[in-house]
Amino acid sequence: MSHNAWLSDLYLAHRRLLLLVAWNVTGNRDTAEDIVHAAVVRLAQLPASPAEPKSFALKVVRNLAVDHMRTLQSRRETPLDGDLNQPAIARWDSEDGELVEAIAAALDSLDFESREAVRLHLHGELTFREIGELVGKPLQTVASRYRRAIDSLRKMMEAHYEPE
Amino acid sequence: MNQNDLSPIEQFLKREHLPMPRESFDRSILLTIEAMDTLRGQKPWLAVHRRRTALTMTAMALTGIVSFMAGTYFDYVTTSHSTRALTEVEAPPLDPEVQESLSKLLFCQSSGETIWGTIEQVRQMKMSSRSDPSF
Repeated sequence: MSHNAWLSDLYLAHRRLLLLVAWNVTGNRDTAEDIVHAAVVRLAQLPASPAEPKSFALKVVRNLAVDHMRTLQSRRETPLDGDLNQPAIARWDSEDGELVEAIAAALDSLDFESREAVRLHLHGELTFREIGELVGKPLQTVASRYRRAIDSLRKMMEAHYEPE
Repeated sequence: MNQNDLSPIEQFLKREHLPMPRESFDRSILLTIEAMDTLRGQKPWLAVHRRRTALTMTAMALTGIVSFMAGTYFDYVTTSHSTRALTEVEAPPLDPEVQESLSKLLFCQSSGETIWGTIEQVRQMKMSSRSDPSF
């Protein structure tokens, strides 16, 4: 049996989430793919499957992404693909034009931690506990960030949607 | 997460579509896993890295002069590949089969075409490299 079968299974089951975690940090799809690829190489070198493969892999991806952004900043390079403190404008390709632009702009106006909580909870479908483990913060902190972010977004997006 | 549990603004935000990873990217990941699996237990002479414009291969010299020479060559090809097609690279004479295997392992995103070799080709390329006096 393939030694890394667990990794193939993990990737196929959570590939969108892995990419989302990297993209949320880097703000650039190509860079996010690089990060996920680098993470997979590291995971493939493990002697055995970790106890909690999904959370372990997400942490590896996020740590690599954060390291990448810090390296860019420490070199004082012009960030081509985002900045932790200045939310990236980059976003996925979409056919939803104006609406997505409005949502993305609203999300980009949030601070990094709040945006991460929203994306990982709504789009990554992670629980607050899972997000907390990933970012190294208590569940309550993550939940609080999320609620504040949603309140802010509600105000920003009122012009674009009609509450039911 | 139950859609009905979401507030209107949460449902609205969820409409921001985040598409699945590209098929070519999926293939690059799965090939990498397979390659790493195949090379497990051996010196990791080959690492596959994906970069912005191309999937590149970087050979790492770890043990022995043969591996070192192969690494130098692969680094050379990797560097050249980003700007020119493999066939245009002014590389040292190569065994045609090695060159063919190498070309198939390179992923050329800029052309919009994805070309992959098999793990068996990687093995053959490795063995050819070892026996090729030009290395």
